[in-house]
Amino acid sequence: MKKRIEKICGVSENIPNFQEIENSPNFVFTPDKSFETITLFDKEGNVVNLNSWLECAYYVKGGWTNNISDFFDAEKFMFFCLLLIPIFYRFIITRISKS
Amino acid sequence: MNSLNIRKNFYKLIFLLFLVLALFGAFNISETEPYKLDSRESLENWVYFYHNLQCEYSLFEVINSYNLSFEISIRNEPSGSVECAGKNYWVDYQREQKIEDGWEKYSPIKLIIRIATNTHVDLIVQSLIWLTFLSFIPKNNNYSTKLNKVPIFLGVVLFYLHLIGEGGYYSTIGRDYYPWPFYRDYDNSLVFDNYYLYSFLLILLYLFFFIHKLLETRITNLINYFPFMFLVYGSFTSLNINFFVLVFSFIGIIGLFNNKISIKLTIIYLLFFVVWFLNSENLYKNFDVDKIKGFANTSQTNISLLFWGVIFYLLLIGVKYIVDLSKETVDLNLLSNNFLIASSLIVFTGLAGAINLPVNFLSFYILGHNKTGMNTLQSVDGNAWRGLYPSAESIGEFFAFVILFCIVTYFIGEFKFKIYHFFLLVINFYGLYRANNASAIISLLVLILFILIYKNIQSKKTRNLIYFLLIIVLILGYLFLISNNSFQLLSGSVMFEAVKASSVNYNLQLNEYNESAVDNANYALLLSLPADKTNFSSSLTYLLNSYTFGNRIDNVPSAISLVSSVSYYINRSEKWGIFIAKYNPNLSEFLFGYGPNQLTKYYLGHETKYQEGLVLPHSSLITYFIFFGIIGLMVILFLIFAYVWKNKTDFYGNVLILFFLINFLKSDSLLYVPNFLIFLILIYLLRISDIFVKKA
Repeated sequence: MKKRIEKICGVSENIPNFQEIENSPNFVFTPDKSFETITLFDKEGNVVNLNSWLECAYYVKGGWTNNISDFFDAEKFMFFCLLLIPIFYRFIITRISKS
Repeated sequence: MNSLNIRKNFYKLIFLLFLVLALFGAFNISETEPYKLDSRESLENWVYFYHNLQCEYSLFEVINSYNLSFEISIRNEPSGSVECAGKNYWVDYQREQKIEDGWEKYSPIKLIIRIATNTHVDLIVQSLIWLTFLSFIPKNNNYSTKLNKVPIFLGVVLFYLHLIGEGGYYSTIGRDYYPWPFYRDYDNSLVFDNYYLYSFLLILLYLFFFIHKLLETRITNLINYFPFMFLVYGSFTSLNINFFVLVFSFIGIIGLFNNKISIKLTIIYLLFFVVWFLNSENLYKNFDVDKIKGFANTSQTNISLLFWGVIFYLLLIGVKYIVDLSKETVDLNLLSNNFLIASSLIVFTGLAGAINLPVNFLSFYILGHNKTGMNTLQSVDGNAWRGLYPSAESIGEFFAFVILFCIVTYFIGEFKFKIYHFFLLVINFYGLYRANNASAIISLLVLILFILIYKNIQSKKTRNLIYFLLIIVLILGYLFLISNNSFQLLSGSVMFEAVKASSVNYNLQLNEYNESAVDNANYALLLSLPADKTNFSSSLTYLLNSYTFGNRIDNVPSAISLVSSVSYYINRSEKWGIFIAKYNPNLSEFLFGYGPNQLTKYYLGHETKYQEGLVLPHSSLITYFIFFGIIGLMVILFLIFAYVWKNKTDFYGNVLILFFLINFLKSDSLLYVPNFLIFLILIYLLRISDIFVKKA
C-alpha cells in the first residue's frame, strides 16, 4: 500500500496511523496549505478532493485512486495466468504431440 | 535448398495474425457506438470524443469512424496500461498553420491516432510472434547441441539489470514501475506485491527458455536465415530491448560457458570498462532513443552502463560462437536466395504500409520496427523513401549489399541464379533507387567494376595498373568537383555549421547586412569571448583554435580543411558540425569514450541548439569514436585492417568488407541491430572459414 500511496499522494516523512483514524469517528483531517489538492475517485464514480497528505493516504488505503487501471491489478492477474503456462505446456501440448 | 518451414507452419501464421488482430480489436464491438466523422465541421468533436473516452475503442473502430481525406497516421503510445493495450489513447490534432513566408498558404491538417501499447503485453505478444518466426528456421538435426540451462537464468538477471538501470525510461511509461521485489510498509512489514516486476521476470524466463529450446536444433542454421532480420527488426514496441540483441547475447552467454572467449579481447575490453565506470555519472535523464531503440541506452546510470557494456561484449562472443558452430553449414546459395527474398519483402511491406493505414501500423508491430513505416509513396523532402525501415540510409546500404553479395556468390559459382531471382533483383534495385543512398550506389558500382577487372584480367600487373588508373580518375573527378567551389567555403564548412549549432549566449554586434560574427565566421573574435558566453564544446574550442591559429604549411590543406571539404561533398557538413558542437569530452572520455551504446552524455551533456529530436552524427566512425574514444577507434580500425591485410588473397571477402567500411564513413548503420550484426557476422565468417577463397 505504501507504494501506491507514494505514487498518488507523493512521498512524505509522516508515518500514518490508519488504525487511530479508523478508531476515532470524529477524526478531522487538518488541511495542509502546502499540499496541492488531489482529486480521487472510487469504483462507483464518486469524486473527492483531498487537502492533506494524511487524508490522501487514508483514502488511497480505502481503495480510492486517481487512475482507473488501479481497480484491477492486471499485472497480478497476468502473473498468475503466466504461472499456469508450464502446466499447460507440459500436460496438454506434450500429450497432443504424443498422440 | 533448405527453405523456411512456412507451408508446414501456415496455421501458426494464421494464429499469430488472429492474435494481433484481436489485440488491436479487429473483432471488437464497444458498448457505446464510435463517433462517426463525415464532415469537416465535426472534426473537433471527433477528436474531443476520443480524447475523453480513452481506452474505449479499438484501432479498427477509430480508423473506421474517420471518413475525411486529411492526412492521418497511427503511432503507438507505450504508456498504456495492460487493459488499455491496443485501444485508443489520444489523438494529436494539428490544425492548419500559416506557412512561414507563405502568402495565404497553409500547411494541411494532420491527425495522429495514438494507440496504447504496454510493456508486458508487448513482451508476451511480440515474443510469441518472433519465437514463432524463429521456429520457421529448419532444424539441423545433424548438428543439434545440448545447451547448458544456466544461461537462461543469467539472461533473466541481465535483463533485470536493464529494467533497474533504465528506470528513467520505464517509470515514465509504466505507472506501476518499481524495480525491487519487495518493500517495507509503514508498519515495517515486508510487502511482496510487485507483480509488475514478477510478471516481467517470469515472461523473460519463459522467453529465454523457448529461445534455448529453439536454438538447440537450429543454432547452426541461424546464419543462413539472418537476412530476414532486416525484415523482422525485432524491437519491442514499448521496451528499449531488441529481440535479436536478446537472442545473440543469450548465445554469447552460452559461448562463455563453452569457453569461446578471447582472453586478449576480454582484457582490453575490461580495461576500457573500468575507465567508462570511473568516468560515469548517474544521469537520471530520459534520453529519447527514437529510431535506435533497442540498441542504445536511454539513461546512463551505472547499472545501465554495466548492462550495455556486458551486452556489447556478449554480442561479440555470441556472433563469434555461432559462426564457429556454423562453419560447415553456411550455404552461400541459400544465403543469397534469402537476402533477395528478405529485401524484396521489405520493399513489398513498405509499399503495402504506404498504401494502407492499418497494414502500416500492424506491420510496424508484427515486425518490430523502431518507427512506423512511411504512410506515403512520396519521398521525404523529395529525396529518400525508407519504406518500413527506420532509416533510408541504412536500408539503402542493405539493398546495395544484397546486390553485391549476389554478384560475389554468382562469380565464385556458389549462387545458382534462377529466373525468379531476376525479378527479386529488380525489386531490390527499386528499393535501392527509392532509398536514394548515393554513396551506397556509387560504392556498389565501383566495387562491381573492381570485381569485373579481377575476374577478367589475369595478369596481376595489368590489374593493379587498371586499379591505380581507376583510383586516379576518381580522385581527379573529385578534384574537378572541388574546383567548382572556393577552398575557403569548403575548408570551413564543418566549423561554420558547428558554431551555428552552438548555443552562443552573447549579444553579438550586427553589421550593415544584419550579420553577426557567427554568420561571418569570425572565429578569432568568438574565441576571444568568455567561454561561458560562447558555450563552445571542448572539441569545438580545440578545433577552432587549431583552424584559426594553427600552424600552416603553404599550399597544403590542414586535416580539418580536408575533412571539411570531404564532408561538403558527401553532404555531411551540417551533421558533423552538430557533432562537434555537442561533443564535449574530458581527456579520458576523448581517449576511451563513453562506453558502447552510450549517447546520453554526448547528447544531453552539453547544451546546443539541437537538444530536441535525435540528430545523429551520420557516420558510424564518429559514433564509435563517441563510444570507444580515439584509442578504442584506433584499436578497432587496426584489427579490421590487420585482418584485411592478413587475408589479402581473399579478394571477394575483402570487397564485401570494403563496401561496409566506405559506407560507414557517412552512415549511422552500426547503430541499427541488423546492420551491426551483418558486419560482425561477415568479419567473423571470413576470418574463420575463408569461404570465399575456398569456393573461388
